[in-house]
Amino acid sequence: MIQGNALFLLGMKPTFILSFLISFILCWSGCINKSNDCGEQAPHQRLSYELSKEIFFLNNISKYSFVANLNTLTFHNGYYYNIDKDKKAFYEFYISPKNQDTSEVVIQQNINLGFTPSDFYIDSNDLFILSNGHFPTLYKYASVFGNQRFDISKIKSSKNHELQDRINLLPNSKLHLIKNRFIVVSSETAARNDASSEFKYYSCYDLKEKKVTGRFTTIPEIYEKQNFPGVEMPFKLDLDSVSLVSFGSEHFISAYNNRTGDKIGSYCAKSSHIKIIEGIDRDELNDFQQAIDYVIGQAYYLDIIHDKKHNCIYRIAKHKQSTKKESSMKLNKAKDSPLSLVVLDIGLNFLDEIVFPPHIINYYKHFSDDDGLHFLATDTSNQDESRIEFKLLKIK
Amino acid sequence: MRFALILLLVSSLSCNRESRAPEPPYQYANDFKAYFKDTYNLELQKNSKYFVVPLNSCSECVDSALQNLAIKKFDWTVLLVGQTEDSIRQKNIVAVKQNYTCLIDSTLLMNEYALGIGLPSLLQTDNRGIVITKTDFFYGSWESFKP
Repeated sequence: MIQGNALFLLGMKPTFILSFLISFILCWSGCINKSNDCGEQAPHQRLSYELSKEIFFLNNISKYSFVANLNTLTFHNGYYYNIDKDKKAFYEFYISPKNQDTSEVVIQQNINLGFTPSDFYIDSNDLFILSNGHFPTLYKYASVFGNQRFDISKIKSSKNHELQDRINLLPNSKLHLIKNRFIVVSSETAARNDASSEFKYYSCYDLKEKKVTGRFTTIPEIYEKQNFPGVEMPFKLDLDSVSLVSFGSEHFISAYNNRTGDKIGSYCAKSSHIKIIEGIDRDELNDFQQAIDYVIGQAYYLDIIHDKKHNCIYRIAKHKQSTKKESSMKLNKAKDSPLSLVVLDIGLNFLDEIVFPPHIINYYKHFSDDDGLHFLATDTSNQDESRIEFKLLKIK
Repeated sequence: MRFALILLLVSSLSCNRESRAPEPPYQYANDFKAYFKDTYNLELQKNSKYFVVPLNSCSECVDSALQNLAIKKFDWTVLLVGQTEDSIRQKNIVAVKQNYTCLIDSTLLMNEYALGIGLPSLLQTDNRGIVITKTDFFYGSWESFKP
C-alpha cells in the first residue's frame, strides 16, 4: 500500500502531496478492525470551543435557495461558488464584512446553465458541472480561472464529456475529481461494467479511458441483515485520492484509495452518546412509519466534514430521542434531536467529542471555508427573508 | 434531508410492488384523527373514505392518482398534501378540485404526525368515524381497483 502511494506521488501537484501524506498517516495509524464496537474512547485532549455569531444579509438570492443548496457550496481562492437547482444557475459570490458580526453576501457573477445541475467541482483551472436526471451529463468548462479569478464568459463554451456509462451521485456525496481526469461517483457506473455480484457504493471513472478503474465500499459485514436504513446511504468525504466513508450505523470510519479501490484502514470514531445502533430488517419492513420512526428516534451517525482551519475532521452523531413529543400527538423532528460532534485529527485519531447546548445550531446545514466550519443557526423567530444567521465553530 | 431520503427509498420500494397483500388494520387511527382535527379543524365523518395524495411521494404513483382522480368520480374526500410545480399535475389538480371535496395541506403538516402514509392512500372510517383501513395506491393499482 505504502509503495503504491509512493508511486502515486510522482509528478503530483501540492494537493496530491497532501493526499499522499493523508494516505501515509492513515496507513501508519490505521488498523483494520472487524468488530463494530471500538469501545469507549478517552479523549486525547479536552477541546474548548466557541460558536461565533455571524449575520449574513442576502442580496439577489433568496434565503430558501441559499439554505437549500448549502450542501454544494464551495469555497475556492477566496470566493464562494454554488448552483441553484431550481433556477438552473451557477453563481459566484463573496462575503463582504460590514461590522463585527455582520456581513453581506454579494453575488458577483451568475449564469443560467440551461440544464438542472446536481453538483459541481472546481479545481485550480477548470469547472465541472454534473447535470441532474436519469442520465446525467458531465460538462467541463476549461480554463475558467484566469489569474485565479473566475471568468464566467468562458462557461458558455462548454465541452460535453461523453460518458459511456450512466453516472450518478448518492444523496450524501459530492462530485469529486482527481487530477482533472478521474471522477469519483456512486456505483451505478461500476454496476453496469462489472458482472460481480458484490455491490459497491462508489467507483472511480477514468474520463480519458472512459472506464471504471476502481470500486470501493461495501455494506459492512456486521449488518448483513438488519441494515436498514442506518447503513443504506454512507456519507463520503474526499481528500484528493483518499475517500473517507462513514456508515450511519458503524462506529468506524473507513478510508479508501479511491483511485484503486484499496482499503487503507478502519478508524474508530465513536460517540460516547451512541451505545447501540439498531437497524431494521429490510425484508420485514412493511410499515412506512417504521422507517420514519427510525430516522427520528434512533441514534446514528451523519455527515463527516473536513475543517481546513483547524486541520481536523468532524463526525456528526445523532443521539436517541423519543419519537413523539411529550405533550401532543405530534412527532419530534430528527434535526431537533440531541447531537454531538466527534472530533478527529487528520490521521483519524480521536481527539474529543463536543456537545453544543440544544437548539443552537442546525447540524444538517453547514458549509466550510478558510475560517472553518459554519453551522446554520437555529433561529425560528427570524422572519426577515434577507437575513440569515450562522455560527462559526472555533476549537482550541 | 435524511427524512426525504427515507421517503424516497420507501416510496421507490413500494412503487415496484406488483401485487398487493390484504391490508392490515390501520394502526394510527388516533394520530390521523389528531392530524385531521389540528390541520383542518374538522372531525372525521362516519363511514367515509378519504384519499390522501402526498405530492412528494413516489412520482409515478402520484401522477397515476391525480390522472385517475381527474377523470373518475368516487365518493371520497381528497387530501392534497404538499405542493407541486409540475404543470401536468397542476392541471389534474384543477380537475380533481372540481370533482371532489378537497382539503389542502400545502405546508406538509402531515409529516408532523405518525400516520404511516408514504403513498397515495385510501382511508376508510367505520360507523364511529374511526379510520379502520388504509389501502396504498401505487402505479398499477387503479387497473385492479374496484370501489
